[in-house]
Amino acid sequence: MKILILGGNGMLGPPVIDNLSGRHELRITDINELETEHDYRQVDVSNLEQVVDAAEGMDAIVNLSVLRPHRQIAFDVNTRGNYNMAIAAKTHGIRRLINTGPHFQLAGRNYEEFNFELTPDMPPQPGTRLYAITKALGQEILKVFSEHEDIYVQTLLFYNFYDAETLSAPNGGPRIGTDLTPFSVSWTDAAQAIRCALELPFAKLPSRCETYYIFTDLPHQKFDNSKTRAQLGWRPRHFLEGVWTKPIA
Amino acid sequence: MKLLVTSANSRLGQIAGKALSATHDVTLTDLPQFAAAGDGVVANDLNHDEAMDDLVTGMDVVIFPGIESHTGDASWLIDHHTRRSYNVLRACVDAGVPHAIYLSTLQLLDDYEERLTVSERWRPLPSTEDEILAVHLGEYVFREYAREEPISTTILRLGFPIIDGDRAGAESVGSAAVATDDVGLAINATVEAGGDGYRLLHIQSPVPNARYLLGNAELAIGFPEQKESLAGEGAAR
Repeated sequence: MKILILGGNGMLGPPVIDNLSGRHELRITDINELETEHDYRQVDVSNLEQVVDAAEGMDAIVNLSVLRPHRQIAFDVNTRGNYNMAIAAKTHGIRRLINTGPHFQLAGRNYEEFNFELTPDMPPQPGTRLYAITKALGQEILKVFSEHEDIYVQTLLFYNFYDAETLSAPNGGPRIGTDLTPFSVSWTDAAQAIRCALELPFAKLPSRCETYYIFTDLPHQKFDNSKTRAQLGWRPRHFLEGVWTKPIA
Repeated sequence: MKLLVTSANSRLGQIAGKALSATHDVTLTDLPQFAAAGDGVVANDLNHDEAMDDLVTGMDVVIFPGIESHTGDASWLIDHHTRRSYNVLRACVDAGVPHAIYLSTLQLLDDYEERLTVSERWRPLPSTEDEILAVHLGEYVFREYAREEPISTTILRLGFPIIDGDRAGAESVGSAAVATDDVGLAINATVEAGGDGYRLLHIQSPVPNARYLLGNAELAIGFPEQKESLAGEGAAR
């Protein structure tokens, strides 16, 4: 499969590229320059023409781009970037779009702080946090396009990523026995989820717009990842037990 | 009351400004490219800055025209209805403005058949047409602010087409039409009623065989106000 990756040099880009290399033909894009053995183009995801050009000849698009704190750029990247991806797909007849984002673009504070057993099929309640709502608006754009075009949108939601061996999260040391956000996953398992989504036959998708929670099996029962296991066939290999268990004297 | 109308030089901005000016202290604002010097309209980019904060400070209600506002390509429209509405609402929350109104469109429900009793309880079915998609996203932003922030937001979904004049003229245009007189009436009534958390109201002229039910608008803001000439003539409930 020929796959366009947007935001290939972001947090999730390297493990996803590692996972897909050798199985698929990759075209990597990022707003920054990047040294890679793959076909590479410098693309600003908020630039419609650049995204459409980069998507020519592709079979799927994976959007890993993200921008959190800046008011203007967050809307440019997280919201309009998805519109650009949808237009690129429509222009070139690309049927498979893999979108990514944080879990709270769907399960915002009004869900997460009050409820348990949260599933990915709830109506989104991102709230007003910039990162959450800009990503949720981008997701809504893809949903509307999936209802009118022959486009399949699979949205994979993440939050915290861990190094499976050191149990370190980004910008931090090991977090042994500290508990964790019950929406955590190892980098390699996260990348594997992207591959599972890409390689899933369309016939196995219940609709043209599906959302999945990507976190490892955890005991909290805050969120529910059973849909991901059932539909994508994804099985996490790392359970991060050292973070959510503690020694008893 | 002190009111702010954005996109004041757009068609719907002008309708809102005219309807409200007689009874309220109205400030009109528009993006610099649409605000000519000396036209009484404050030029403001609706960006995340001090000028935005100053603009809403002291206001009781802010009115943000969505449909039939300024036009542009899809990127411009999406940016305007998402980022700029977000900026306005954030500034409102910070300044303690209690109520904001978004002027949307009943075209979001156009895909439902005419025979169906479409009310505010029906899921919107936006198309990918630029303006419709952008307005759908604008509603999204206003809804989330009401859900999570100390501000009430009201979305008025206006009938289509919007025709100049009174409701008698709407009858000959279509079963979903709304006259500008009724748009002004509905906006005024919404301002007077005040905010109440999150409100979504369908507004069209009460023509015979009206396509959309107006019961919620009647309960919430007393729209449509009965006029002698049309009283009892097929206004949908």
